Amino acid sequence: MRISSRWWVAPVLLAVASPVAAQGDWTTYGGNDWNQRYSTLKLITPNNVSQLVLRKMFQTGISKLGSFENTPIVQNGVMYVTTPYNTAMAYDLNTNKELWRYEHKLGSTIACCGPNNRGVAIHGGAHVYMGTLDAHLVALDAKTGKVLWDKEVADAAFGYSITHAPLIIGDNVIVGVSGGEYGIRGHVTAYNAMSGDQVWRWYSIPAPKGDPTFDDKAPNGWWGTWATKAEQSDLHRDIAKEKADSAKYADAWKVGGGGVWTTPAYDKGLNAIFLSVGNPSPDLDGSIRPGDNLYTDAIVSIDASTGKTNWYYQTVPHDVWDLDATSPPVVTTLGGKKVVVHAGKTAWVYVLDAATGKLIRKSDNFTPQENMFALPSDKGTRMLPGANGGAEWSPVAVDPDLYYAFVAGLHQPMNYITHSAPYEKGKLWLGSAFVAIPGEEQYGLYSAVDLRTGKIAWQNKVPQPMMGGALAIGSRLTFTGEGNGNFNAYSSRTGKLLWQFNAGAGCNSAPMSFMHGGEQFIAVACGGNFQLSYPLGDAVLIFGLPKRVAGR
Amino acid sequence: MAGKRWFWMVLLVGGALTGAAWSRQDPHRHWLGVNGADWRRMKPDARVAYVEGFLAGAALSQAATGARDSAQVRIAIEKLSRDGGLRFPYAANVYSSRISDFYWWENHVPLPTWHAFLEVNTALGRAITDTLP
Repeated sequence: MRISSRWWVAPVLLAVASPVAAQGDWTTYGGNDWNQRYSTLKLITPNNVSQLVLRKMFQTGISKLGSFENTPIVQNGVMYVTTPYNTAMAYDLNTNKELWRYEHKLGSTIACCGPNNRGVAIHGGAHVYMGTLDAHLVALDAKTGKVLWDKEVADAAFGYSITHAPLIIGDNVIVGVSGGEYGIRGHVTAYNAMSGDQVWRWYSIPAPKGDPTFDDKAPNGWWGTWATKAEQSDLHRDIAKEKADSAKYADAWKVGGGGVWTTPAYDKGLNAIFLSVGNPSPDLDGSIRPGDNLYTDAIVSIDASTGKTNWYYQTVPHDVWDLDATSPPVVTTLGGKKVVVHAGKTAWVYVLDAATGKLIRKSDNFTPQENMFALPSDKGTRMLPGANGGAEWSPVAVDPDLYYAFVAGLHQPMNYITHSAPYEKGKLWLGSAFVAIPGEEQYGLYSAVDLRTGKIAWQNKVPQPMMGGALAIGSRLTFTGEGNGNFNAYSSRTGKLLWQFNAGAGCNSAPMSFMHGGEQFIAVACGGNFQLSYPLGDAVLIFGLPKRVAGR
Repeated sequence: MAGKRWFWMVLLVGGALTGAAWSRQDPHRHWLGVNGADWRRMKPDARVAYVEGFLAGAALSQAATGARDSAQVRIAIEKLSRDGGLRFPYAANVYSSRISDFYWWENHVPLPTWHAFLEVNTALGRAITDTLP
C-alpha cells in the first residue's frame, strides 16, 4: 500500500515534539509536561490485566485522615507521596522501606475543600518540592527529606493555600495558590529551584489600566468584554446593572478570587504554561463583582519565561454557579496541531488551539445537562450539572494515539437557591446554596471523549459520583477509581471493564504507572474523599502482574 | 463563665470599634443593630474598615483577658497573632468575602453583623465552643 508522504511526515514530527517519556519513571504529577497522564508502557495489556495483583502497599500512618488526592511520583527507584495536612514521604521500591518523612508544621490555614495535597515535583532527581496548606513552598533534599528552603508564597491569613503539585520547568518551580472562596487575588509564581528566589509572578485577576500589574491581554481589566453567553448558552446577566455598579465596586478585582487548584501543563515548543483558573470571589454574590471576572473560570496560556499572558479562554463569564475550571489542562496533538484539552465542571470537554486559545470544539456533554446557567431563585432552580460538575478537579488522561480523553464525571442533580428557610444557626450557607435534590439518583460516569469529533466514544456508569482522575497506558488500557473503593481497568477502545479491585477506602486520586525491576506497575492512593463522604484511609496500592506472568 | 465574659468583651470592644467605622457613614445607627441591609449598603472600602475594626476589637479583648496592664496586652496580642491563636485569625478580605456570601441569603439579612462574624468563623473551622448567652 502506498502511503502519501504527507501522512507520515506530520506524525513523525509530532512524535519528536511529544514529551511522552519512554523510560519507566513517572516524574511529574501529570506524567509528563503535557499533563497527559499517559504511560507508553505496555507490559500490562488487555490480555493479562485480569491477572493484576496487589504487589506492594504503603500505608502512610498519618494521624489525621482527609481526602487522599495524591498521585505518587517515581524516580530512580524511589516513590514520593504526600498526604493530607502536608506530610511528604519517600519509599525505597527495592527494600519497601520508608526512607524519610517530612511533616510540615502548619500555621493558620483555610482549607476550603479539605486539607488536601496532590503531590510533589522533583528537580534533577535531587530536590523535591511541596506546596502547603499554609501557602508555603518547601524544597526538600530528595535523599534525606531535609528542608533546603521554605518560602512563604502568600500569607495564609488572607485566605491563601496550596493544594496542587508544583511543576518544574527548567530550573524554575511553578506554583499557584488556592483561596478563591476567601477574597484572595490569585496568582502563579515561578521560583528558582535552587535558591527559592522569585523569578516572576502572574496574577489570575487582571488589574485595570494604571496598576503596575496591568495585563494588556485584558485591556478592560477583570471586567472583560461583558459577555452575555458562554458559547451558545445564555448567562442571564443584567449587563446594564453590572455596568452601572462597576464604579461602586471598582476595587472588587483586588479580592476577586481566581485560585489555581491543579498542576498546569507546559509545552516546550511554545514555551507556554497552560492553567485552569477557579471561581471568582465571593462565590455566590455576583452583584458585588460586576463584569466577566477575568480570568476566573478560564483556561489561560502564559509565557514560561516571563509570566506574561499569551491568551485566555473563559468557560463561564461572571460565574454564580461555581462551575469553574479546576481539572488540569492537557496538551496533545490533533490533526497536526497542538491543542489544549480541559474537562469542565460544565460537563463539556473544551479543545482549544494551544497557540491562540481559539475554541476548536466543545464536546458533547459527558454528564447530563439541564437548564444550563439558569439563575438561582428563592424556591430553588434545578440545574445540571451540580456545583461539583461535570468534572471536578479530577485530572483527565489522554491517549494520544486513540485521541480519546478519559473523564471521571459526577451526576448530582442540584437546586440552586438564593435562600433557605428558616435560618438555622450554625448551618453552612455555602454548601446549602447548591442543594442536592432529595430522592434523585446520583452517580458517576467514566467517559471516553473522542477529541477529533467531540462525540462520546463510550461511557460507563458507576454507582457514585466520581472524583479522582484517570490514567491511560500504551497497551490501550485506562484506569480509574471509585468512592466505594473499586479500582477499575477498562479497555481504552471499548470501555469494557477488564479488571477490578476493591481497596476498602475510596480510590479518589489519579493513578500512575511506572517500571521497576523490569516490571510495569500501576499505583493509586486510596484514602477516600471527605467532601463526598467516601470512606477514608491512608494506603498507596501498587499493582502488578504476578511474578510468574510478569515480562511475558 | 469565662466564655461568657469573653463573648461580651468581644461584643463591646469590637462593637465600639466597628461602630466607630460605621458611624462615619450613618451617625444615628447603633452598632448593635447593624445588619445585612446595612452591610449591603456599605461601599467596599467601608466594609473592609468595618471588618478591620471588628478584628482589632476582638483581638484586643482576647488579649486583654487576664492581663494586668497594657504591656501584658501588647505581649499577648503579639503572641496570639504569631502563634495563630486569635479567635478571628484571618484577614479582613476573608471575612468581608464570606460575610457578603452570608448576606446573599435573603433570610440572613435581618441578622446582625456580629452574628455573621460568628457564623463565618464557624464555617472557617473556628467555631466558638463557649455557651452563648
